[in-house]
Amino acid sequence: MSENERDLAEESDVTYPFFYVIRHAGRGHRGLLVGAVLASVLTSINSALSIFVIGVGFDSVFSSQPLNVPLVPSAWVPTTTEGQLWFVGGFLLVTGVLGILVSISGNYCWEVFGQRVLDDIRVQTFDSAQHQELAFFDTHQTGDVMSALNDDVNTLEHSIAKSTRWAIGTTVDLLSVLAFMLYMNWQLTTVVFLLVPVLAAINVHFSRALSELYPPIQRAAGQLNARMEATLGGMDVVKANAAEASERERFTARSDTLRAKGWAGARKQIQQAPLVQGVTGVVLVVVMVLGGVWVIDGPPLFFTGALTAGQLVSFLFYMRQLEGPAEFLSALVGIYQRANASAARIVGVRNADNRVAEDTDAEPVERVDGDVEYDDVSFSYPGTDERVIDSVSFHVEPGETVGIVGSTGAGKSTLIKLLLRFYEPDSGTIRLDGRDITELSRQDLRAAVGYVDQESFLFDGTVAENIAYGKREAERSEASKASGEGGASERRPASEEGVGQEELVAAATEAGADEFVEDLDDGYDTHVGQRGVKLSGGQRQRVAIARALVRDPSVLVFDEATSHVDNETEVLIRRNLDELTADRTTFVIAHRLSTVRDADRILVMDDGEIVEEGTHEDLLTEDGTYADLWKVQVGDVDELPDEFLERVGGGD
Amino acid sequence: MNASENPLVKLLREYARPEATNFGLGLLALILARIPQRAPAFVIGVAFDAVLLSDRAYSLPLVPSEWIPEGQLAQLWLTAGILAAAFLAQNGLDWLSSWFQTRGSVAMSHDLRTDAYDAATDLRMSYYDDSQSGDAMSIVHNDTDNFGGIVGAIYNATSHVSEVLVTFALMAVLNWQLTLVLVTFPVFVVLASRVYARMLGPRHEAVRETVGELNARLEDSLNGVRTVKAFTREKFERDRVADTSEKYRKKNWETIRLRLGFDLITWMSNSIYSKIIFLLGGYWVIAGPPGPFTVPFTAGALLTFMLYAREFLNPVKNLAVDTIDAYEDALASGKRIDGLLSHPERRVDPDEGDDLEVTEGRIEFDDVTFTYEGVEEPTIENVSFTAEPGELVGVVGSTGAGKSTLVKLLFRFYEPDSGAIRIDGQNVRDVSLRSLRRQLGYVSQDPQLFDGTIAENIAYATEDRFDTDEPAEEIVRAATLAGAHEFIVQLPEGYATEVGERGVKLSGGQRQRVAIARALLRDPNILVLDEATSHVDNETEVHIQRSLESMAGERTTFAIAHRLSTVVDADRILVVDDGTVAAEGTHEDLLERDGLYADLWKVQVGDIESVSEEFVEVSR
Repeated sequence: MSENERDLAEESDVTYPFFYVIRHAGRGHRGLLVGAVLASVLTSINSALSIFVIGVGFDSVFSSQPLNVPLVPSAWVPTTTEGQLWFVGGFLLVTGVLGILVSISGNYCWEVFGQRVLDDIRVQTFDSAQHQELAFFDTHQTGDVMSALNDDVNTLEHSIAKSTRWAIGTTVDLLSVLAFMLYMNWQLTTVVFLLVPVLAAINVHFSRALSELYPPIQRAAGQLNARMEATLGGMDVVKANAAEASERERFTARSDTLRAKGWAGARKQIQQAPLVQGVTGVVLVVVMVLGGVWVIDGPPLFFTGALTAGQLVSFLFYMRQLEGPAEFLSALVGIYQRANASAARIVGVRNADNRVAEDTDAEPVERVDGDVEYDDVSFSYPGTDERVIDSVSFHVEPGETVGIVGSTGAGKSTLIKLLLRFYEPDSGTIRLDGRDITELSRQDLRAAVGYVDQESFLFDGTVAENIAYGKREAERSEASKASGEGGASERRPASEEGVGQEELVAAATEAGADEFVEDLDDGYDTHVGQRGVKLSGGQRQRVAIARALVRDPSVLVFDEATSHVDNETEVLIRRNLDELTADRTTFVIAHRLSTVRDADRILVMDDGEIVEEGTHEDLLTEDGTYADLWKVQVGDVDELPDEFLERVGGGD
Repeated sequence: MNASENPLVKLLREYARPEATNFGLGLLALILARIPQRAPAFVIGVAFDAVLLSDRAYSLPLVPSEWIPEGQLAQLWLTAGILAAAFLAQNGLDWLSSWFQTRGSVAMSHDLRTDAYDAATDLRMSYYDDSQSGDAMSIVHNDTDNFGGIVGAIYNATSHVSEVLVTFALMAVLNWQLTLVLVTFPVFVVLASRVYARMLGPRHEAVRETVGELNARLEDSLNGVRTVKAFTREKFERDRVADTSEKYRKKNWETIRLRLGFDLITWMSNSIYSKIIFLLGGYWVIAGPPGPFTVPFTAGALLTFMLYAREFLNPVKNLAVDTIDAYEDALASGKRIDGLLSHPERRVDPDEGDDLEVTEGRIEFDDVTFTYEGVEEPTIENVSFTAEPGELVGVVGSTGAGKSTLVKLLFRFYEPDSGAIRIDGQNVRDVSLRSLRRQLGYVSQDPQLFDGTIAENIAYATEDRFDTDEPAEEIVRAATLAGAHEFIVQLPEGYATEVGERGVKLSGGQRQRVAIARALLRDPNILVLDEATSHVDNETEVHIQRSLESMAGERTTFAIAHRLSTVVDADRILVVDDGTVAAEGTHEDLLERDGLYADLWKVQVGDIESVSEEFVEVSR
C-alpha cells in the first residue's frame, strides 16, 4: 500500500485551514476571545499612555511647563511642581497597576480560550479519525494520524495561546505607539518609523536566507538519525558481521556533515540580532541628535513646530518598544505557515471524515441463525483498479465451519472484511439469514459476527475490561453505568460496565482463557499493559476470543488468528475451537493449512477468486493448488510440480 | 574516577577542553559587551542634564574633563558619537561572542555524538536484549543535543549576571544611596522566581505524566481501530479520549494559572518599583535629598535610572527560572550520556585474540551451560553436540526452549557459564571477535536491511565498496545462491534498486533472500539461519528451502526453525527442550521415536487429535 500513502494535508480542501479550525472550534468560546482581544488593546494603549505621561511629567516637573494629561480635566491638575510630581507619580502608579490587572486578565482569557479550543479540537479530531472507514487507515499510517493528534495539535496550542496573542498584542502596540507619537510630533515620528521597514527588511532577509540554510541541516540530521536508528535497531546484523568499525566511520562522516551544515546556518543566524540592534541604535542616535538640536535650537533642516525635552524622553522610550514588534512581525509569516500546515493536517483528518450515516432506518435484528451467502461479490480498494475480490459466490449453512486459505494477497482477509462491512462491495450482495447486510445496522451486524483478528489487539486495562469490551453497548445494564466513577473502588472489578462477572467467566471459559487468567496474580483484574504486552501471544489470543464470545455471536470469524502463536498454543486454541464452533457458523482464515484441516469445507482463494472448494481429503485428491500448498506445509518441496515453482519463481 | 563527581563537570572537562579557546574568548567578549550595552542610558542621562536642562556640567566617568567640548551642540554631537560607538561595540562584541560560542558548541556536539555512538555500538548484545534500542538512540540523538544546552545556560547566566552588575555599578556612580534601595528588587525577584520554580516542578511533572497518558490513550485507541470498529465501540472510545484530554487540560491549566500568578506578582512589583524610582527620584531632584539620604540627584540621572528600571526584570527572571531549568535539563542528559560512555558492558577489543582459522567447519558444543543475568534457571544446560563439516543441522523446539540462545553463544553475543564451544578445535573464547564473526554467516528472523541499494546491502559485510551499477561477480553469485537473483533482475533497476528505510520497499520474502545473500557473500564455511522462515509465506519458504538444499554439502549450516517443514530434509535435527537437547536424529528417526518432535510434527500437519496430553499440559 505504500504508493497509496497520502499526506493528510492533501485531504484538506480549505483555503485558510488555520482560521477554519479556529472558527469551528472557537465557536462556543467567542466571549473569551472578545475579552482577550479587548484586554490586549487596553494594555497596549495603557502602556503607550504611561510613556506619554512620563514625558509630559518630565517637562512640567523639571522644565516647569504646564502639565497637560490627556483624558484628565485641567482643573484636577495641581500647579505646584511638587504637586505635579505626586500627581504624575500617582497617575502612573494607578494606570500601571490597572494595566497589569487588565493584561493578566487578558492573558487569562487567552489561555482559557486556547486550552478549551484545543481540547475540543483534539477530541473532535480523534473522533473523526476513529469514525473513518478502514480504507482511510490503508492510505494513512496510524503513526501519521497519531502525529496529527499529537504534534499538530501541540503546534496549534502554541499558535493559539502564544502566537496569536503576540500577533494581536504587537500590532496594537505598534498602532498605539504610532498614535501617541503622531499626536506629540508627527515629523519626528516619520523619522522613527523609517526604522520599521528597515528592520522588517533585515528580518525578511534573514528568514529567507535561513529558510535556505535550514533544510540542508534538517536533511543532514534526518540522515544521521535514520542511519543511527537502522544500525542500533539492527544491532544483531551489525555485530554478526563485525561491522562496528565501518558503521562508526559512516556515522562520523554524517555527523561531520551535520556539523558543517549546522555551522553554516549558525554563522548566518548569529548575525541577525546584532544587526537589528545595531540599526535600532543608529536610528536612536539620529533621533537623539535631531531631537537634541530641535530642543536647543528649534526645528532643524526642513522640520517645523516645537519639541520639548520631555517629548524627546518619550520618544526614546517608545523606540525601545518598537524593537520587539519588528522582530516578531517578521517571524510571523513563518509562524503562520507552520500553524497553517498543522491545521491543514487536522482538517485533513476531519475532512476525510466520510462518517457512515448512522443506520437509523435499519431494521433491528433479534437473533440470527448464521446463514451466510455471498452472491457474485466483487471489490477493489478505493483508488485502485485491481479487483481484490472477483465475482465470488458461495453459501454457508448455519453451524458450518469454513476454512479459507490462499497465498498472501489472494484476498482472504478482504473477503471477510466485507462481511463485517469494513468495506462495501462494488457489486454483488452479501446476505445474512437471507437479508442483505446493507439493510442491517452496523451495530447489529457486528454484534452478530464475532471477529478475532491476527494481532488480537488488547487495550491497556485489565483482563476483565478487555473481555467486557465486546459487550454490546445496548445490552449493558443502565444501573451500573449510573454508579459511575464514585463507586469505582468498591465495584466488583470483574463486573466492568454492566457486564456481569458470570458472563465474563463464561466467555473466558469457553475461549479456554479462564484457567490461565485465574492463575495470574490479580486474576481478572490483571493489567495487560499497552497492546497486551504483559500476556504471551497465546494468552492474548484467548482473551481476544473471549471478547468476541461475550456477545454470543452466531457467526465467528478467525482472521489468521493462529498465524503468530506457537505450536502449543495452536493445539490449545484448536481444541477449544471444536466446542466454540459446534453451533456457530465459523470462518477460519489461515495461513497455515494445518489450522483448517478439519474444517467442514475449505475455500482456496487465488487472485481474488475461489479456485477450489472441498474438504481436506477432497482437495488433496484433486491434486491442485491446495495439494501443492500442503506439500510445502509438510516440507515436501521436491514433490512440487514445476508450474508451482515457476509461478512463485519471480518472487512475490 | 570519583563516582559522585558531577557528570556535567566530568563531560565538560573532557569535551569542552579541546574547544577551550573558543569558549573562553566567547565568554570574554560576552562580558565586555555588557559595558557598552549599559552605557547609552547613562550617557543619555548626562546629556539630558547638561545639554537640555543645563543643570550640571557634562562629565563622564573615566573621561578627563578637558576632552569634553563646551557648548550645547558640540556636547550633543559628542553624546551621539559615544552612543553610536557603544552600539557598535556592544553588537560587535555580542556577535564575536556568539561566533566563538557556536563554533565551540558545534564541534563539541559532534565529538560527543560520535563518542556516544561509538559507545552504543560497543555495548554487548545483552544491552540490546534487555533494554529497548530506543534508549541508546535517544541518548545519542536527544541527550547529546540537550547537553549542548549547558553551554547556552552558562553563557546566559554570565550574560545576565554581568548585565545586572554593570547596571548597578553605573547606577552607583550616579547615586549610590538610591541604588542601595533598588538592590532589594533583584533579590526579591530571585526569591520569587525560585519559589515559583519549586512550585512549578511537581506541576510540570503532572503535566508530563498526563501528556504521556493522553498519548498512550490515543495510540491505544488508534492502533486498535479495527477492534474498535469490529465491536462498534466508537462512542466509548470518544468518551475515554475526552476524559483523558480533560484531565490533561486541567493539569496544564494548573501550571498556566501558576505562571499567570507569578507574572502578576513580578510585573506588579516591577511596576511599583519603577514608580518608586520616579516619585522618590523626582522628589529628590526637586526638593533635595529626602529623609536619611544625602547625595545630590539630577533629572538626567533619574532618566538613566528609569531607563535601567525597565530592564531589570527579564534578566533576573531568566536567570532564576530558565537558566536553572536549562542547567537541570543538561544535568539529566549528562548523567545519561555519562552512563552510556562508561557503561560496564562495553565490549572487549574486537581484535584481541588469535584469528580464527576455519578449515572444515566442524562445530562442537561441549557441555555448555548458560544463564541469563537476573534469571535463576539456566537457559542452556549441559548441551553437547557436534556438527560435522558440511552438515545441515536443524534445531527445533518450543518457544523459550533455548534455540536462539545457542546461536547467540556461538557468536559470543554472550559467554557461557561453563563448557566450551569449538570451531575446528579452536575455542571461540580464545579467538578475536572480529575473525569469529567474519567467518560465520548469519540470517535472523526479521533481518534488517539498511537504506541503500540491493547491491550495497549484499556487500554490507565487506570492506570494499562495490560499484553498484555493475554488480560485482561475487554479489551476483551470492544472490543466485540465495535464490534472490531471479527477482532482483526483474526489478526496474536491478541491483541498483533502493530498498528504502529498513528495506520497506521489498516484500518480506525478498528481504529475507537479500539477507541470505548478504550472509553468503563472504562465502562462510558456517551459516546460521535463526528462525529465518518464521515470518514468510509458503512460497518464500519453498525458495529458502531450495537455497538451503543447493548450499548443502559445501558448508556447515544451522537452521533454527519454528516451522518443522524447513528442516525436514536436514542431515540431523536437534530437538531442544527446556535448555537441553532432548533428542537428535533425522526426521524419520525422530518420528519413529514418537516424542516431542512427533508431537510438534502433528501440529505442523494439523493432526491435533493425536497430540499427546503432556504436550498440551506444558503450555496451559
